[in-house]
Amino acid sequence: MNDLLIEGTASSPTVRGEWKSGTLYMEGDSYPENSYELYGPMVAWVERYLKERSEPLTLELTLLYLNTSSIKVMMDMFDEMEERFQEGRQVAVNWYFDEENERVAELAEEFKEDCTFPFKIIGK
Amino acid sequence: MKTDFAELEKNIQDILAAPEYQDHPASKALSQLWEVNQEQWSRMDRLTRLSDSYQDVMIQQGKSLSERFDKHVRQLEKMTRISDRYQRSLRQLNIELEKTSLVDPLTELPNRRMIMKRLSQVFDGQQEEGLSVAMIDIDYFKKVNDEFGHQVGDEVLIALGRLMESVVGDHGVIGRWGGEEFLVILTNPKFEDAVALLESLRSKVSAYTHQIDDKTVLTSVSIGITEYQDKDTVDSLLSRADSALYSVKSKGRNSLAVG
Repeated sequence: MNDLLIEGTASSPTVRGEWKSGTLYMEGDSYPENSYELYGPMVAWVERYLKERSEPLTLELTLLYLNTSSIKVMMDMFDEMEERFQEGRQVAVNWYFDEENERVAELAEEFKEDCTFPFKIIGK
Repeated sequence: MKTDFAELEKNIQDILAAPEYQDHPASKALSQLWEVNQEQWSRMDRLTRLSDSYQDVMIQQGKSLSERFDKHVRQLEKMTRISDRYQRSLRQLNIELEKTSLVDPLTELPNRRMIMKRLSQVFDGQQEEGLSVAMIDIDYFKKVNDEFGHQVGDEVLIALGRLMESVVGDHGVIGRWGGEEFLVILTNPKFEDAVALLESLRSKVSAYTHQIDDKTVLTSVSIGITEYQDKDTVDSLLSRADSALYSVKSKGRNSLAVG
Protein backbone atom coordinates (compact mmCIF):
# COMPACT_ATOMS: atom_id res chain seq x y z
CA MET A 1 0.00 0.00 0.00
CA ASN A 2 1.36 3.39 -1.00
CA ASP A 3 -1.42 5.36 0.68
CA LEU A 4 -0.49 7.67 3.54
CA LEU A 5 -2.36 8.42 6.75
CA ILE A 6 -1.28 10.66 9.58
CA GLU A 7 -4.05 10.86 12.17
CA GLY A 8 -4.96 14.37 13.23
CA THR A 9 -4.72 15.71 16.78
CA ALA A 10 -5.85 18.96 18.41
CA SER A 11 -2.62 20.56 17.23
CA SER A 12 -2.09 18.80 13.89
CA PRO A 13 -4.25 18.12 10.87
CA THR A 14 -5.34 14.79 9.46
CA VAL A 15 -3.11 14.03 6.47
CA ARG A 16 -4.27 11.53 3.88
CA GLY A 17 -2.40 10.64 0.70
CA GLU A 18 -4.14 8.69 -2.06
CA TRP A 19 -1.50 7.16 -4.30
CA LYS A 20 -3.97 6.04 -6.97
CA SER A 21 -5.60 9.43 -7.53
CA GLY A 22 -2.47 11.43 -6.70
CA THR A 23 -4.26 13.47 -4.05
CA LEU A 24 -2.97 14.65 -0.71
CA TYR A 25 -5.54 15.91 1.80
CA MET A 26 -4.71 18.04 4.83
CA GLU A 27 -7.43 19.21 7.18
CA GLY A 28 -7.22 21.01 10.51
CA ASP A 29 -4.95 23.31 12.51
CA SER A 30 -1.21 22.83 12.51
CA TYR A 31 0.92 23.77 15.51
CA PRO A 32 2.62 20.52 16.49
CA GLU A 33 5.74 20.50 18.66
CA ASN A 34 7.93 19.12 15.91
CA SER A 35 6.55 19.83 12.46
CA TYR A 36 9.60 18.47 10.61
CA GLU A 37 9.32 15.11 12.34
CA LEU A 38 5.55 14.91 11.96
CA TYR A 39 5.49 15.92 8.31
CA GLY A 40 8.61 13.97 7.30
CA PRO A 41 6.57 11.02 5.95
CA MET A 42 4.25 13.42 4.13
CA VAL A 43 7.09 15.29 2.40
CA ALA A 44 8.70 11.94 1.52
CA TRP A 45 5.38 10.69 0.13
CA VAL A 46 5.06 13.73 -2.12
CA GLU A 47 8.67 13.43 -3.31
CA ARG A 48 8.23 9.73 -4.01
CA TYR A 49 4.99 10.31 -5.87
CA LEU A 50 6.57 12.99 -8.05
CA LYS A 51 9.52 10.69 -8.77
CA GLU A 52 7.72 7.42 -9.38
CA ARG A 53 4.53 8.55 -11.07
CA SER A 54 3.88 10.77 -14.04
CA GLU A 55 0.19 11.46 -13.26
CA PRO A 56 -0.89 14.83 -11.84
CA LEU A 57 -0.52 15.59 -8.11
CA THR A 58 -3.18 17.62 -6.32
CA LEU A 59 -3.08 18.99 -2.78
CA GLU A 60 -6.50 19.47 -1.18
CA LEU A 61 -5.95 21.72 1.82
CA THR A 62 -8.35 22.82 4.53
CA LEU A 63 -5.88 24.44 6.87
CA LEU A 64 -6.67 27.20 9.30
CA TYR A 65 -3.81 27.97 11.65
CA LEU A 66 -0.17 27.12 10.90
CA ASN A 67 2.75 27.73 13.24
CA THR A 68 6.05 28.91 11.79
CA SER A 69 7.64 25.48 11.35
CA SER A 70 4.49 24.21 9.61
CA ILE A 71 4.65 27.22 7.29
CA LYS A 72 8.23 26.24 6.42
CA VAL A 73 7.21 22.64 5.65
CA MET A 74 4.40 23.84 3.38
CA MET A 75 6.70 26.28 1.58
CA ASP A 76 9.30 23.56 0.98
CA MET A 77 6.57 21.33 -0.43
CA PHE A 78 5.24 24.08 -2.70
CA ASP A 79 8.80 24.88 -3.87
CA GLU A 80 9.34 21.23 -4.74
CA MET A 81 6.06 21.23 -6.68
CA GLU A 82 7.03 24.44 -8.46
CA GLU A 83 10.33 22.89 -9.55
CA ARG A 84 8.54 19.83 -10.94
CA PHE A 85 5.97 22.05 -12.62
CA GLN A 86 8.79 23.90 -14.40
CA GLU A 87 9.93 20.51 -15.68
CA GLY A 88 6.49 19.89 -17.15
CA ARG A 89 4.72 17.99 -14.35
CA GLN A 90 1.05 18.63 -13.67
CA VAL A 91 0.64 19.76 -10.06
CA ALA A 92 -2.09 21.79 -8.36
CA VAL A 93 -3.18 23.11 -4.98
CA ASN A 94 -6.76 23.71 -3.86
CA TRP A 95 -6.89 25.60 -0.59
CA TYR A 96 -10.38 25.70 0.94
CA PHE A 97 -11.51 28.24 3.49
CA ASP A 98 -14.66 29.15 5.38
CA GLU A 99 -16.07 32.30 3.78
CA GLU A 100 -16.69 33.69 7.24
CA ASN A 101 -12.97 33.60 7.85
CA GLU A 102 -11.44 35.83 5.17
CA ARG A 103 -8.12 35.85 7.00
CA VAL A 104 -7.40 32.29 5.87
CA ALA A 105 -7.82 33.37 2.24
CA GLU A 106 -5.33 36.21 2.73
CA LEU A 107 -2.83 33.77 4.21
CA ALA A 108 -3.27 31.29 1.39
CA GLU A 109 -2.60 34.21 -0.99
CA GLU A 110 0.82 34.65 0.61
CA PHE A 111 1.66 31.03 -0.16
CA LYS A 112 0.28 31.30 -3.66
CA GLU A 113 2.39 34.33 -4.57
CA ASP A 114 5.51 32.45 -5.69
CA CYS A 115 3.74 29.51 -7.33
CA THR A 116 3.12 29.53 -11.06
CA PHE A 117 1.29 26.18 -11.03
CA PRO A 118 -2.53 26.17 -10.59
CA PHE A 119 -3.23 27.32 -7.03
CA LYS A 120 -6.89 27.89 -6.22
CA ILE A 121 -8.22 29.49 -3.07
CA ILE A 122 -11.79 28.34 -2.71
CA GLY A 123 -14.38 29.74 -0.29
CA LYS A 124 -17.10 27.43 0.93
CA MET B 1 58.91 45.49 -30.43
CA LYS B 2 56.63 42.46 -30.38
CA THR B 3 57.78 39.25 -31.91
CA ASP B 4 55.68 37.97 -34.79
CA PHE B 5 55.38 34.36 -33.71
CA ALA B 6 53.67 33.18 -36.91
CA GLU B 7 56.53 34.56 -38.97
CA LEU B 8 59.16 33.10 -36.62
CA GLU B 9 57.49 29.68 -36.75
CA LYS B 10 57.36 29.78 -40.50
CA ASN B 11 61.05 30.73 -40.68
CA ILE B 12 62.07 27.88 -38.41
CA GLN B 13 59.92 25.36 -40.27
CA ASP B 14 61.44 26.55 -43.60
CA ILE B 15 65.00 26.11 -42.21
CA LEU B 16 64.18 22.64 -40.86
CA ALA B 17 62.61 21.63 -44.18
CA ALA B 18 65.51 22.89 -46.33
CA PRO B 19 67.58 19.82 -47.52
CA GLU B 20 70.84 21.84 -47.65
CA TYR B 21 70.79 22.41 -43.86
CA GLN B 22 69.75 18.80 -43.03
CA ASP B 23 73.19 17.69 -41.67
CA HIS B 24 74.23 20.93 -40.06
CA PRO B 25 74.59 20.58 -36.22
CA ALA B 26 72.71 23.87 -35.73
CA SER B 27 69.77 22.44 -37.68
CA LYS B 28 69.69 19.35 -35.41
CA ALA B 29 69.76 21.53 -32.29
CA LEU B 30 67.05 23.75 -33.75
CA SER B 31 64.89 20.74 -34.51
CA GLN B 32 65.24 19.51 -30.89
CA LEU B 33 64.45 22.96 -29.57
CA TRP B 34 61.38 23.09 -31.84
CA GLU B 35 60.07 19.79 -30.44
CA VAL B 36 60.61 20.88 -26.83
CA ASN B 37 58.83 24.12 -27.65
CA GLN B 38 55.84 22.28 -29.19
CA GLU B 39 55.59 20.05 -26.14
CA GLN B 40 55.66 23.06 -23.83
CA TRP B 41 52.89 24.68 -25.82
CA SER B 42 50.63 21.66 -25.60
CA ARG B 43 51.35 21.41 -21.86
CA MET B 44 50.43 25.03 -21.44
CA ASP B 45 47.23 24.33 -23.38
CA ARG B 46 46.31 21.47 -21.09
CA LEU B 47 47.04 23.55 -18.01
CA THR B 48 44.91 26.37 -19.27
CA ARG B 49 42.04 24.01 -20.01
CA LEU B 50 42.30 22.39 -16.57
CA SER B 51 42.45 25.72 -14.85
CA ASP B 52 39.44 26.94 -16.83
CA SER B 53 37.35 23.94 -15.97
CA TYR B 54 38.24 24.26 -12.28
CA GLN B 55 37.18 27.85 -12.46
CA ASP B 56 33.93 26.74 -14.09
CA VAL B 57 33.23 24.30 -11.29
CA MET B 58 33.90 26.99 -8.70
CA ILE B 59 31.63 29.42 -10.51
CA GLN B 60 28.88 26.80 -10.70
CA GLN B 61 29.30 25.98 -7.02
CA GLY B 62 29.24 29.62 -6.08
CA LYS B 63 26.17 30.10 -8.22
CA SER B 64 24.29 27.20 -6.64
CA LEU B 65 25.29 28.41 -3.17
CA SER B 66 24.06 31.89 -3.89
CA GLU B 67 20.91 30.45 -5.44
CA ARG B 68 20.30 28.42 -2.30
CA PHE B 69 21.03 31.44 -0.16
CA ASP B 70 18.60 33.57 -2.18
CA LYS B 71 15.96 30.88 -1.85
CA HIS B 72 16.36 30.71 1.90
CA VAL B 73 16.24 34.47 2.23
CA ARG B 74 13.07 34.52 0.15
CA GLN B 75 11.53 31.75 2.26
CA LEU B 76 12.52 33.47 5.46
CA GLU B 77 11.00 36.76 4.39
CA LYS B 78 7.82 35.05 3.39
CA MET B 79 7.66 33.03 6.58
CA THR B 80 8.07 36.17 8.61
CA ARG B 81 5.29 37.84 6.68
CA ILE B 82 2.93 34.90 7.10
CA SER B 83 3.79 34.56 10.80
CA ASP B 84 3.20 38.25 11.37
CA ARG B 85 -0.12 37.98 9.64
CA TYR B 86 -1.09 35.06 11.86
CA GLN B 87 -0.04 37.01 14.92
CA ARG B 88 -2.10 39.99 13.82
CA SER B 89 -5.13 37.83 13.25
CA LEU B 90 -4.68 36.11 16.61
CA ARG B 91 -4.48 39.48 18.30
CA GLN B 92 -7.61 40.59 16.51
CA LEU B 93 -9.39 37.40 17.53
CA ASN B 94 -8.30 37.92 21.12
CA ILE B 95 -9.76 41.42 21.11
CA GLU B 96 -13.02 40.12 19.67
CA LEU B 97 -13.04 37.26 22.16
CA GLU B 98 -12.47 39.61 25.07
CA LYS B 99 -15.23 41.85 23.82
CA THR B 100 -17.71 39.01 23.45
CA SER B 101 -16.77 37.66 26.87
CA LEU B 102 -17.46 41.01 28.54
CA VAL B 103 -20.39 42.43 26.61
CA ASP B 104 -24.00 41.32 26.80
CA PRO B 105 -24.88 40.38 23.21
CA LEU B 106 -28.51 41.52 23.46
CA THR B 107 -28.28 44.94 25.09
CA GLU B 108 -24.59 45.47 24.26
CA LEU B 109 -24.14 46.72 27.82
CA PRO B 110 -21.34 45.32 29.99
CA ASN B 111 -22.28 41.81 31.08
CA ARG B 112 -22.25 40.44 34.63
CA ARG B 113 -18.60 39.38 34.33
CA MET B 114 -17.49 42.84 33.25
CA ILE B 115 -19.62 44.72 35.77
CA MET B 116 -18.18 42.49 38.55
CA LYS B 117 -14.69 43.24 37.26
CA ARG B 118 -15.43 46.96 37.34
CA LEU B 119 -16.98 46.71 40.77
CA SER B 120 -13.90 45.06 42.26
CA GLN B 121 -11.67 47.64 40.53
CA VAL B 122 -13.70 50.53 41.93
CA PHE B 123 -13.94 48.76 45.27
CA ASP B 124 -10.15 48.60 45.56
CA GLY B 125 -9.75 52.30 44.91
CA GLN B 126 -12.89 53.86 46.43
CA GLN B 127 -11.42 55.16 49.70
CA GLU B 128 -11.22 58.72 48.35
CA GLU B 129 -14.49 59.05 46.49
CA GLY B 130 -17.96 57.76 47.18
CA LEU B 131 -19.27 54.44 45.91
CA SER B 132 -22.85 53.34 45.63
CA VAL B 133 -24.45 50.40 43.94
CA ALA B 134 -27.99 50.08 42.62
CA MET B 135 -29.82 46.95 41.60
CA ILE B 136 -32.56 47.56 39.03
CA ASP B 137 -35.30 45.14 38.08
CA ILE B 138 -37.87 45.66 35.31
CA ASP B 139 -41.34 45.28 36.80
CA TYR B 140 -43.60 42.51 35.57
CA PHE B 141 -41.26 41.73 32.72
CA LYS B 142 -42.58 38.18 32.46
CA LYS B 143 -45.96 39.68 31.54
CA VAL B 144 -44.36 41.56 28.62
CA ASN B 145 -42.92 38.32 27.30
CA ASP B 146 -46.17 36.43 27.81
CA GLU B 147 -48.35 39.11 26.27
CA PHE B 148 -46.22 40.31 23.37
CA GLY B 149 -43.77 37.46 22.82
CA HIS B 150 -40.05 37.15 23.47
CA GLN B 151 -39.14 39.18 20.42
CA VAL B 152 -40.89 42.22 21.88
CA GLY B 153 -39.47 41.35 25.30
CA ASP B 154 -35.98 41.55 23.79
CA GLU B 155 -36.76 44.86 22.10
CA VAL B 156 -37.96 46.30 25.40
CA LEU B 157 -34.79 45.11 27.14
CA ILE B 158 -32.64 46.73 24.45
CA ALA B 159 -34.62 50.00 24.53
CA LEU B 160 -34.59 50.23 28.32
CA GLY B 161 -30.89 49.37 28.39
CA ARG B 162 -30.17 52.31 26.10
CA LEU B 163 -32.44 54.65 28.01
CA MET B 164 -30.90 53.78 31.38
CA GLU B 165 -27.37 53.97 30.00
CA SER B 166 -28.07 57.47 28.70
CA VAL B 167 -29.24 58.55 32.15
CA VAL B 168 -26.25 57.04 33.95
CA GLY B 169 -23.89 58.58 31.39
CA ASP B 170 -20.52 59.54 32.81
CA HIS B 171 -21.65 59.21 36.40
CA GLY B 172 -21.02 55.49 36.48
CA VAL B 173 -21.44 52.18 34.75
CA ILE B 174 -24.55 50.17 34.05
CA GLY B 175 -24.47 46.52 33.09
CA ARG B 176 -26.90 43.67 32.57
CA TRP B 177 -26.82 41.55 35.70
CA GLY B 178 -28.94 38.80 34.16
CA GLY B 179 -32.49 38.36 32.86
CA GLU B 180 -34.29 41.65 33.46
CA GLU B 181 -31.91 42.79 36.20
CA PHE B 182 -29.34 45.55 35.80
CA LEU B 183 -26.60 46.76 38.10
CA VAL B 184 -25.36 50.33 38.34
CA ILE B 185 -22.06 51.38 39.89
CA LEU B 186 -21.90 55.08 40.78
CA THR B 187 -18.92 56.98 42.10
CA ASN B 188 -20.64 60.22 43.05
CA PRO B 189 -18.98 61.73 46.09
CA LYS B 190 -22.41 62.51 47.54
CA PHE B 191 -24.86 59.68 48.08
CA GLU B 192 -27.85 62.06 47.67
CA ASP B 193 -26.72 62.78 44.11
CA ALA B 194 -26.58 59.07 43.36
CA VAL B 195 -30.08 58.60 44.76
CA ALA B 196 -31.37 61.59 42.77
CA LEU B 197 -29.85 60.23 39.57
CA LEU B 198 -31.46 56.82 40.06
CA GLU B 199 -34.77 58.46 40.97
CA SER B 200 -34.70 60.37 37.68
CA LEU B 201 -33.83 57.10 35.90
CA ARG B 202 -36.88 55.48 37.48
CA SER B 203 -39.22 58.27 36.43
CA LYS B 204 -37.85 58.32 32.85
CA VAL B 205 -38.43 54.59 32.50
CA SER B 206 -41.90 55.01 33.92
CA ALA B 207 -42.65 57.70 31.33
CA TYR B 208 -41.25 55.61 28.52
CA THR B 209 -43.60 53.76 26.19
CA HIS B 210 -42.70 51.09 23.71
CA GLN B 211 -44.94 51.01 20.63
CA ILE B 212 -45.65 47.67 18.93
CA ASP B 213 -48.01 48.10 15.98
CA ASP B 214 -51.13 49.51 17.65
CA LYS B 215 -50.22 48.25 21.11
CA THR B 216 -48.29 50.12 23.75
CA VAL B 217 -45.98 48.43 26.18
CA LEU B 218 -45.71 50.26 29.49
CA THR B 219 -42.87 49.51 31.84
CA SER B 220 -41.41 50.57 35.13
CA VAL B 221 -38.46 49.62 37.26
CA SER B 222 -37.83 48.91 40.92
CA ILE B 223 -34.53 50.04 42.34
CA GLY B 224 -32.55 49.13 45.45
CA ILE B 225 -29.61 51.42 46.13
CA THR B 226 -26.95 51.36 48.81
CA GLU B 227 -23.82 53.27 49.72
CA TYR B 228 -20.45 51.83 50.60
CA GLN B 229 -19.83 51.58 54.32
CA ASP B 230 -16.74 50.75 56.31
CA LYS B 231 -15.92 47.04 56.44
CA ASP B 232 -18.10 46.41 53.41
CA THR B 233 -17.13 43.69 50.99
CA VAL B 234 -18.33 43.44 47.38
CA ASP B 235 -20.74 40.75 48.53
CA SER B 236 -22.16 42.67 51.49
CA LEU B 237 -22.64 45.74 49.28
CA LEU B 238 -24.46 43.75 46.62
CA SER B 239 -26.60 41.89 49.10
CA ARG B 240 -27.73 45.19 50.72
CA ALA B 241 -28.73 46.55 47.32
CA ASP B 242 -30.52 43.29 46.63
CA SER B 243 -32.49 43.38 49.88
CA ALA B 244 -33.46 47.00 49.23
CA LEU B 245 -34.74 45.94 45.79
CA TYR B 246 -36.76 43.14 47.40
CA SER B 247 -38.34 45.54 49.82
CA VAL B 248 -39.46 47.73 46.86
CA LYS B 249 -40.86 44.68 45.06
CA SER B 250 -42.89 43.63 48.09
CA LYS B 251 -44.23 47.15 48.57
CA GLY B 252 -45.66 47.60 45.10
CA ARG B 253 -42.79 48.30 42.64
CA ASN B 254 -41.95 51.36 40.45
CA SER B 255 -40.07 53.01 43.25
CA LEU B 256 -36.67 53.23 44.87
CA ALA B 257 -35.45 52.08 48.26
CA VAL B 258 -32.21 52.80 50.07
CA GLY B 259 -30.60 49.79 51.73
